[in-house]
Amino acid sequence: MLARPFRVLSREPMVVFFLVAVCLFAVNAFISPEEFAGGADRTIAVGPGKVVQLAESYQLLTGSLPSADELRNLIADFIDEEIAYREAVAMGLDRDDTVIRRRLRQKFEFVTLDTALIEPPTDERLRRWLKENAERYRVPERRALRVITFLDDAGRTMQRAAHARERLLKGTAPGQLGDQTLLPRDLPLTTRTGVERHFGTATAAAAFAAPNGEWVGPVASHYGAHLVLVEEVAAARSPSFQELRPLLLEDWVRAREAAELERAWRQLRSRYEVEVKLPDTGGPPAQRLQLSATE
Amino acid sequence: METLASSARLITSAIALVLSLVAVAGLADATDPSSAARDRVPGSPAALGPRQLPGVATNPLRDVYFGDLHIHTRHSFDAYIFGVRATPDDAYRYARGHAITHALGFPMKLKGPPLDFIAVTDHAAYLGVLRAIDTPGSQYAGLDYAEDLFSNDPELIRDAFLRFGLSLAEGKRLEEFEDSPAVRTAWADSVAAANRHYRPGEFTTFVAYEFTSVPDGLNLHRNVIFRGGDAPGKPFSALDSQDPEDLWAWLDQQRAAGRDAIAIPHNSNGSNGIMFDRVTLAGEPIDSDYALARMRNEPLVEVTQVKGTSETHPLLSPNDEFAGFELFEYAIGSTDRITRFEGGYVRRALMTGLQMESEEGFNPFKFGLVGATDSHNGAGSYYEDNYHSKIGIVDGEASGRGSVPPAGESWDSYTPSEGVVRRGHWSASGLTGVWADANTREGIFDALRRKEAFATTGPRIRVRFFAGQDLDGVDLVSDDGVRRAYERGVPMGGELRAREDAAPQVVVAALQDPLSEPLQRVQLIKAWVDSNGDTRERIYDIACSDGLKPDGDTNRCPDNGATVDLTTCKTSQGPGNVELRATWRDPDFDPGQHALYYIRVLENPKCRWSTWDALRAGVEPYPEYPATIQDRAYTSPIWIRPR
Repeated sequence: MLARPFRVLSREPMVVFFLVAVCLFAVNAFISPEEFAGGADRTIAVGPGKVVQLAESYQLLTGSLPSADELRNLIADFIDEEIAYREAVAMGLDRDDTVIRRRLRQKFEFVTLDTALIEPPTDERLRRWLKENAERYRVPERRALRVITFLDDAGRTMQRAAHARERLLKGTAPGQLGDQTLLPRDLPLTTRTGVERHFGTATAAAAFAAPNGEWVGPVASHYGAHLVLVEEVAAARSPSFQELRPLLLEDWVRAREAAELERAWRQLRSRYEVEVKLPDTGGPPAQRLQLSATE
Repeated sequence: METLASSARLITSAIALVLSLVAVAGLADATDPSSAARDRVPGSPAALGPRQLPGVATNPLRDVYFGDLHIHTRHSFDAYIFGVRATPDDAYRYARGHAITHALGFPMKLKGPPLDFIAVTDHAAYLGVLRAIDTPGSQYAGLDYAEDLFSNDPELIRDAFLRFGLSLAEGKRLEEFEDSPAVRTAWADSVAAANRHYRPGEFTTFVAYEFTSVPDGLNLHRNVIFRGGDAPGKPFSALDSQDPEDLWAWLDQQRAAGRDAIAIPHNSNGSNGIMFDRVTLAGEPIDSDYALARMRNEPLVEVTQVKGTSETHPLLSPNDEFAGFELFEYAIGSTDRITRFEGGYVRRALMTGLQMESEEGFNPFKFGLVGATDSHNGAGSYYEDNYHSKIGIVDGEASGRGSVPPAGESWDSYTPSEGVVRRGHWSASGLTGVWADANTREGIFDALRRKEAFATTGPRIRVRFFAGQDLDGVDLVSDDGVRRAYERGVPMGGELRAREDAAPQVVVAALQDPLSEPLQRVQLIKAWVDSNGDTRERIYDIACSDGLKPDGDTNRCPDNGATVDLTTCKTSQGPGNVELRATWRDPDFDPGQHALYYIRVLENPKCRWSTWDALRAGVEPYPEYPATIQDRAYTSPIWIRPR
């Protein structure tokens, strides 16, 4: 039944040529097997688009376009790189190499993040961010203080301080009490950290718990003892949205990028079935190494 | 370029934000007339009167601030090889009190309050280059030695890395890094980070870098600190020229373009005497142009840091019982020993300067003193009991710094190599203290420029020091006293004219760091040129702890009985003072002599870091290192100009 179409076809020159070509290829494959048995493709085509790309990359790095010599080198370099790449893949060098795997991961993450286009947020979106993270943007409380110090060197610091406090309550001027030291006797509006820097944590804590206008102490420190008067309190405040906007934008974008990356990873992991078999040689119990695709 | 512009906009907005925040919150105190400290002091020699930023707390009578002016991050070629991945941001966060990670993976946290200021000073030479080589797809990732550099074989790493060391010793840039974009990128990042973390009134950061000149292995390193946030496109590195005179010429240009900066040399102890030589690098005798250029650009010297203290040496100061302090007598980065001490130590250099002033009318060595760490971990170690040394994975563990034998060994079975012992001689130093109008770039920089600065070997010892002709009744611990001191005398870093009829008076106050040991004594070190034209030095103890008095003949405080228990590192509880004060008049003053005074304050002894390491490992301390240490502060000198 097939005989008649076959006889017609075999009189077509194209068909004959095709059949001859196939035979020739088969013979060639038989003679030079390495060219086909996983061998590298021998044609490297560097088109005008690629040349422009090389020149532009160079410009990005150095600020100017390459000269003729430089361009020649760039192209030659690219060709060598392409050859090495093909040969390496043909040899299977890209498999099971930790360094290459790590670098591919880096590149992949970079590419994934880059393609997750983050639209600039609206003011309303930023206001919501500010509301959710209010603590982060508060300006801390500051206090202006007067401090009377009793140095360990003269001894009996707590007693002297207590005695001085009584005299203060009876009207003695603060300037007449305590030891003169390199430590400040008064501080302008200062944060708690700023007070700690001079007097340590205990005194700062007392200063920030004290009521305005009342001498508190004695408080012990590494120096001896202190009496503290709060002269002014500048309450912690939340700056306005307009004041904070540039900072909010920066923080929001950074947080969004991190979230996008994490979301992309979760999606990827969910596509894979993962099975981990631990060795029997007394490792941690299997439950502790629970790995789930959503982690 | 685009990202730089938008970053710049973000930065300026952030700075404007902070300033306006502080301005609104601080308006009340800036106009409060009742507080004495706000008074302006008219026309005093130390040029009082703050340049006020709106709302930032300023004090014309000046406050003390502490900072580290020498920190390295992963941008430095050597830090990167040491496995350090801390960024400038990490360095700033550490200085503010947050924990960051050491190259070996453990957390590092600053002991005590945050630092007030900091300069990240990465090597300009090959800035960012090692990281670029390590970055997949970068133009350098394909270098033939790239793989060796980041292999696991220490031999391969060392050989690959040697090319960078040799390149610096020769002062020749490796070809593959000509006009490297990696350097520009890293520098832009460094500048942006400094500007991003600057909080006027709270935390000062500086645009800065290190000029790593090391001709033939001899140390001529300097750190360059800019006053403002505006930086040149590229830092002038030792690969552009190894000669400090070329650096000064470049700095003069920067200054003319509105970017004031200073250079601070360090590790003269590793220069084999060329740091403070009487001839230039080119071998010419120093002349007045050189002296002016040097003093215009280098008002300070970093006298103490991890790689040893360069105040003085027992061979140069045989009568100074405290001269042998944290000496490091090797060339930097090698086991070659230093053989020439003259020209390598700061006290002798100050004296040489006096001598040149008296003989030739100019003084190239009229510098003040500061301290820093030079830590390459992004984080400094300032205390003996909290020490993580300097170079990442190499010395992050005690066995790497020669203080304990490796695991499983004992001092009987193991002798540390000279390379390791070198690191046992490194120190938990140092810090800079300044008396400044405000904690701002302008405030701190101007204090550095006028040398109202002092060095400490780690702890935050506060020292104030004035000299003048009529300081009766001046104390340094009341507003009135300080005001009078500025009016009638000069602070550290200043200069006095001698008077025929009376010796200058000196007033000093020093306060211990509450997290360190009490103070033992205050010493005054006098240097002068005698009638034969020779330089001389003499040390007077001018205040002793515990009510003791210096001996009239020896000028030394008696032993205050302070002890250290080496089995526990506990220090004696009684001896020592929280604060020491002194007023003193020079009994040997000669108004016809060029002279200077500077103050050295000593703490009671305590365990050295190497002893702490040994204690924690349950081994004996290695006998080659001192078991205890007396931390100290050195003020900038006050010079006396003869009639």
